[in-house]
Amino acid sequence: MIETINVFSVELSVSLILIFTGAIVYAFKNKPNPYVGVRIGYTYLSEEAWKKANTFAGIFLMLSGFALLLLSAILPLIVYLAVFLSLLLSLVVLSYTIAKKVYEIEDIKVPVTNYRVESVNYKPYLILQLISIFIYIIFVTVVWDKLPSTIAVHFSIGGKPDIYTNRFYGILATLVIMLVVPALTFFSSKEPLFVNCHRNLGFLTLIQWFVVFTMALVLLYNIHFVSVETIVAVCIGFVAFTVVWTFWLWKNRS
Amino acid sequence: MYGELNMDRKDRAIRKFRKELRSGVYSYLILKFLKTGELHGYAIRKLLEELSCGKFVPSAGALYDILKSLQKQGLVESFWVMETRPRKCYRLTNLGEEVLVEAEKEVRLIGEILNKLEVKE
Repeated sequence: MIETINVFSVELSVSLILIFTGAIVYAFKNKPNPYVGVRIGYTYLSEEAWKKANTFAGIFLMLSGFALLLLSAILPLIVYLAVFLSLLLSLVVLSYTIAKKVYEIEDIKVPVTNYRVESVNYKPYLILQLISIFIYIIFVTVVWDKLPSTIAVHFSIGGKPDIYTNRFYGILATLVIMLVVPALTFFSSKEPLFVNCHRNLGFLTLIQWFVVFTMALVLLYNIHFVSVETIVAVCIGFVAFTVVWTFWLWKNRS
Repeated sequence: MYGELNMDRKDRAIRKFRKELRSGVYSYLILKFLKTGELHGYAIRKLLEELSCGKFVPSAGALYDILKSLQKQGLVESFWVMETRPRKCYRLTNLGEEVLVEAEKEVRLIGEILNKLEVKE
């Protein structure tokens, strides 16, 4: 009984939060700001795109909230969560599509005077990133037989392994994670206003190599070749490096 | 009342007919313009305006739809350029060039038929 009440109260609060967020987004639909609303490149640069995307997002969120509120009475938690996540995903995709369309139509109306072609060649970066995955796969085939059937894949801040999984699925999941940066690189070259990192492809590539290197260290840990302290040290080192780099970028921003 | 209704139907029919007739020609002209080099959407409208003294120009929204559909078919590709903010330009693909050759034949054929019709009339 207590469990049922808890599940229901979680569903209830999620639905109410959605309605509340929707109302706030809707309230700011005519006031572009850096805090509340659909904030992507298109909506930053075009007031019209901001208005249309946020009007849609506000109404969509409120309606989703109401729908989930009704469904919370009948749906089991797992189905409720699936519906919730698909609604959120639809929200992101649809707001993005609306903002992009409005921006592009507006773009056609504005005279062009003098533009420069900003050719960012993303291919060398992408190739470098994919090479890292390739090397990792070779490394996996080399150490595969030495790996235990269950491997540690995640560590607590204190350096204790806290998630274990089957070696095949663990490595499969790792490979999926390794595809995130190459996907971002590819997408940012096509849609610079959505994933605004086409100027930082070098940094992204560095992150990719760090991720792959760390994942390889994790495998080495599983065959007792490196200690967990080494992994922690590498991670802390990289975070420190990122902080310094970000500060440097911020200081030298144009 | 009946007259008004009739006018309404006539207007609607003309609009539909115009839309159908124009959309293919717009696509053709866009491919033709892009053959000479990459262009921004605004420039495409400007070229059409100059060519037709402003009588044969799609709205920005209509041009967006046409360009989208040409991209979907793989005849045109878009890329971003920088001005004060990112602007979208278009260029012809290899497939677009090949299709344009066939489209030119088609347009020539239509032209010939229309000419013949005019002579007869």
